[in-house]
Amino acid sequence: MKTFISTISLGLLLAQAALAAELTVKSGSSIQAVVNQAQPGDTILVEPGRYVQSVYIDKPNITIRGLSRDGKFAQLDGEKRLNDGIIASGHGVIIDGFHVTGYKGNGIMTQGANNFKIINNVVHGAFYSIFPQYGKNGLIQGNTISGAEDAGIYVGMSDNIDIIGNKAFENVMGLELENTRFGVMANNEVFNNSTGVVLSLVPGLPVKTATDLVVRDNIIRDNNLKNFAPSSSIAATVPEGVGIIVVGPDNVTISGNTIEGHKTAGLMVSDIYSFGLGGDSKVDPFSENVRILENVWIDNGKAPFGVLGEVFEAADLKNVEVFSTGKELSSCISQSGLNTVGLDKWTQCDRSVPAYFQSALLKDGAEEPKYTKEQKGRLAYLAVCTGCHTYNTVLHGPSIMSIKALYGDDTEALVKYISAPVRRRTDFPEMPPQDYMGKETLNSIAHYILFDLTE
Amino acid sequence: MNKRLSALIALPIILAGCSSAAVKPVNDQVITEKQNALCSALGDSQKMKQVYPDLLKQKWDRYAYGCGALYQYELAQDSWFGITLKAEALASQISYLDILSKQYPRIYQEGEAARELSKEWFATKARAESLISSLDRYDWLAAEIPLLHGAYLIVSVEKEATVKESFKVIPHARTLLQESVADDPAAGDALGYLLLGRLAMSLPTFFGGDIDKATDYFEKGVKQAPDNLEMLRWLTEAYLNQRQHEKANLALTDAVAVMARATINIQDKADLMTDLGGLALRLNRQDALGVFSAERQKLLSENPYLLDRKYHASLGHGGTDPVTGKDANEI
Repeated sequence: MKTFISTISLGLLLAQAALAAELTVKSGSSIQAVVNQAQPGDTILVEPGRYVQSVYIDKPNITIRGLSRDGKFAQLDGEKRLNDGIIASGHGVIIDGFHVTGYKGNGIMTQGANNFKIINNVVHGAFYSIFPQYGKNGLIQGNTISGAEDAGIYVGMSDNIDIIGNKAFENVMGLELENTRFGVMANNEVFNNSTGVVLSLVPGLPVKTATDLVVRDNIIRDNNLKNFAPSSSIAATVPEGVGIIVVGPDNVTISGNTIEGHKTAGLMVSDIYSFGLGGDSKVDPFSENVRILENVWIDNGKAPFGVLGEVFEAADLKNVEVFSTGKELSSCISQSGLNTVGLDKWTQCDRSVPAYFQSALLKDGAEEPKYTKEQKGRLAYLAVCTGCHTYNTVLHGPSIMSIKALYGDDTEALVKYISAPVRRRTDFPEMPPQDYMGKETLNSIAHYILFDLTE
Repeated sequence: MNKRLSALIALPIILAGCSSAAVKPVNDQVITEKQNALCSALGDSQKMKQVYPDLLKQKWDRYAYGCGALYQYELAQDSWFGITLKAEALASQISYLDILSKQYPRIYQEGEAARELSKEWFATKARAESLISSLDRYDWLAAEIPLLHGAYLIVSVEKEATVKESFKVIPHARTLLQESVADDPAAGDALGYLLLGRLAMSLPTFFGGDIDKATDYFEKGVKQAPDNLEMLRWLTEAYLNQRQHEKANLALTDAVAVMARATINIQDKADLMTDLGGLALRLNRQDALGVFSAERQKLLSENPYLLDRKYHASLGHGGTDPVTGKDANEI
């Protein structure tokens, strides 16, 4: 009997393995077409070549892997016309091995995808280069990211995320964890950005907490690049010349990092009000339990500049390694002999308290809820449409209010336009076609815009 | 003098809205082209006098309020010795700057809307500064004058200001407010204590920020103006941020009691209900949350023109939660 059952189990396993296919995208052909064919569990191999495309993945357990051969890569190129490179909302997605460049909005983005992996990609440019949001249990490892006008790796409103062994340079922010719970940044190299690492709790967003974040064993050096974010974006206010900025999260551990060569300061801890982010009474503005353990500090604070430079000048502060706005609760620092400002209420860290957790990933993975049509519509709207459209003002395209006024309740007409836009007004740039998302997703988006989105 | 001032004056934001590059006014005139076109009573003193009081109630309509503030300014300028009118006109410019500052979006804006906002910002500042220059010589007459001057300095660097400019005005603002509360702590419904408290809460400690001092100012403010709902809001938050939960709960309970009889502008009240609701959530006070939520919903449904301050998503960021479909900022 046992042997019979084992045979059945083995048979089932083999059957499942046989069902998971490997599909290949020939050089230069449509990646989306193959994604559309793929079934959950399939692997899509993309041959080296240049792909001027956006790719949308909303089915679960898809692995999409860019192949390299003889120095050639699978390169996604937005030609500075297309907004997004790869967007995924399917759970269990693995995005591996792509070179992504020339996109205006997002290089690689996941929205609502759990148990994801974004690994071994090279992403240059875009507003956000790698941007997982609303995800649980994700790994971002081995990527090289540069040229982002906001953050190179920007994790938003997610839980249990590891950012490991990446290289981030020449971005406004190298790495950021925003309104995120349980995150680890480890063994990354973060250099030549405007600011190296940011841990933030931003008010007004749907997730109101940020906690249990570890920044350990990273090399964070020479982040002194002039902030090049668009002047009308919130990223333009990020201070320059700082290694690590902590604004608002609780239970933060910073340990084992080399923090070197930052002209303004090695590390800054700020409350939300002092950082200019007030206006949401649901959010606790002051960090609690920030622990700065043993790190290596070399040559920070020698020549403050930018926004913080003016603050330091006004307050006559110099050579600051660690600087705080002084509102934190129950926070501590291990090392003595550092030049610090605002840490009068901090204590010496209790070394008997465990330093940190090694990984934030869940042993058994996160649940993978099946999204409804409405949820998919909202996720896709947020990921794709809001890159160019806001509700009641002009961003890059007309406002959603004006689109609603134009289309009324005619979802079909809106879907038709989105699939193959025709430029009607010269005061707006040309809208790229969105047909790659598929009719079902476009219908969900159109329904959400015309019926559910309100002022 | 007037209780209109006491509602929701903005506070210095040290870093947001600031850059290290010099900020040049878009328009150093006291009126923008758009206002010139929109505010049809301009030039007609009788008409302006007749309409401005009602316009100044409409905090939900930036253009209506803006015309009201402009008319009041013009009338004050025409009045040779009208100190009260000038002071009230200054209060309206300050309130208008507060209204404008809330129009600046969180994440990203460019284009015509941004340029128009900037023009209005600088024009309003020019008007306020003109009024201050005529009022300052009379600061010995009434505590309200240094109070208004201090309040203006604070709101003037809320947006479109460099860090240097912010840091330059804050000590001066603080001195003026301290003078005012020493002279008459109850002036403007204890506005001096409210602003001093908010400064102490929002500034870094190396620049005079101090949460204990903030609490002290709010406590004094509540003693002077026990029915000031905004004061109670900030006192509750100060206690909460110090983890003095028992005191925070008491302050919140007082806020519930005061709410019923508060006679503040309905837009301000709707906004305060959101703030107080957020604090009630953090204190796990479902009873208070229910009261504030019900009041807010009632205000919004009876006055559909009120702004609900929804933050819409842009650049893949913000808005309602796409998984739940709910607006997490609503109470």
